[in-house]
Amino acid sequence: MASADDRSNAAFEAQALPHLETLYRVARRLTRSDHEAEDLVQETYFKALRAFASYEARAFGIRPWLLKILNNTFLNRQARERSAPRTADQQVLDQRPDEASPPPELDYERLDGEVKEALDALSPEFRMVLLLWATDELSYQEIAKILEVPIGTVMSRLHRARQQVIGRLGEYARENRIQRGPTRR
Amino acid sequence: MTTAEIRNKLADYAAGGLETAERAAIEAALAHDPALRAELQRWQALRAAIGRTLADGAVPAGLADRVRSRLRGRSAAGSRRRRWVVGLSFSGMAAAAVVTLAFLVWPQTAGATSVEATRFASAFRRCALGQCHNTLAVKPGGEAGSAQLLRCASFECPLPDLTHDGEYVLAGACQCPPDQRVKVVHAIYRSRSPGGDVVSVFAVDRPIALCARGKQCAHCPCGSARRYREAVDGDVTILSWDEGGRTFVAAARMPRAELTHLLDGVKLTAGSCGGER
Repeated sequence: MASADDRSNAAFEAQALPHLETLYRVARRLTRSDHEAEDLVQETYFKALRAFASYEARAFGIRPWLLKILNNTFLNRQARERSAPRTADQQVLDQRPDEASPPPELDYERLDGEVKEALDALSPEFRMVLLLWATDELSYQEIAKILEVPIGTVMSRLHRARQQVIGRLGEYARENRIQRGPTRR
Repeated sequence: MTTAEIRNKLADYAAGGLETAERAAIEAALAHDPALRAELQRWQALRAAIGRTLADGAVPAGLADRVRSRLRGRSAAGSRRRRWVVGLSFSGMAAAAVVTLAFLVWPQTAGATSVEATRFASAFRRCALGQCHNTLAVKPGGEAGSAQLLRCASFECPLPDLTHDGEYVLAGACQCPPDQRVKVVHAIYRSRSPGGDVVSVFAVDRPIALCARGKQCAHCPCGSARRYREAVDGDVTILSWDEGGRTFVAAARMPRAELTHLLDGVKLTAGSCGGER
């Protein structure tokens, strides 16, 4: 006869493992390493299983909860490795956004490498919020739950993160024109 | 909404992140403004490009199986460990919950010697994962699954008994030094499950500071609570802690949380560590 532990474990697997791919893909963009991503995902599932008894199914299901654990685990690892406080500068993260600049006119279908570089250059907090923004089916409310911040903070972080990416892509666009310049003569 | 406000919210609109009233205002503006529509398309294209960075590359083959295996192994080991701890508390055999290894006395030195974590990872790969050159004769068995190292014994040093819940077997022991300045007994445990984990535990002859390459060394003096210092070398997790006047180091290819959990579940015999015979 299955024990209560076995039943709980089976329930956890049934609910949590379908989100493995999403977790791994987010982890890889956060860590920028296949190996570290796998380690992070395994640690996330391990922690989630231990905390499963306290998990309460709400409107959004288990995915935001798993992503929250993943995000916190990643940030805590980073803080330990740097021997520094967890968040670099909360004021900088959450200060009022400047006016928006639109994305430059570029062929985004061909710019995956540049977009990836621009993402990698962001602070982990900005990178995470932007990745969540680009993940289908995640509402701003869910992002707020994952990051454990108010929706207004999600929006201001998103704004600033997007502006930083746009800034880098704008530089790329300018450099590209400079490179093309001599061939036009 | 002003045009500037609408432009500020286009990116959120592209992700469906606005309330109904704001969406309606933006949609009304979009209907009459081709430049705004072009801008919205660029936001959508940027969002899609960021989404593609997530989809880039394949999820490692077998990852789901590895996660499932760890979850089930951890759950089963946790149950066994709980039963074991309860059993011991009733039987009063706590002292038998260690692997006792006896070996030559090494001189104790004042202060902590700094040793790079990567050297322990290297010994783990060489001795535990590579050719297991078991140079110390180990006598397995005993009621509590204890093992005795058959060597001229000048003092005893306990190691966590990973063999006790039946998941691991003691596969060998050697004295390969991770650093010429310290001496160790390196015990190697293998999981019984096919393709299972290998865990190394090193008992170092003195307190050491464990250093990650290029980072500051960490040393905390012995205390009643185990405080793990941790490092990662490639795919190897390394944890060390001080107990009984020595440093113990564990290395394994497993997430640090799992290794911590494994080590938390075992005990060393207080007071016997370092005692001379």
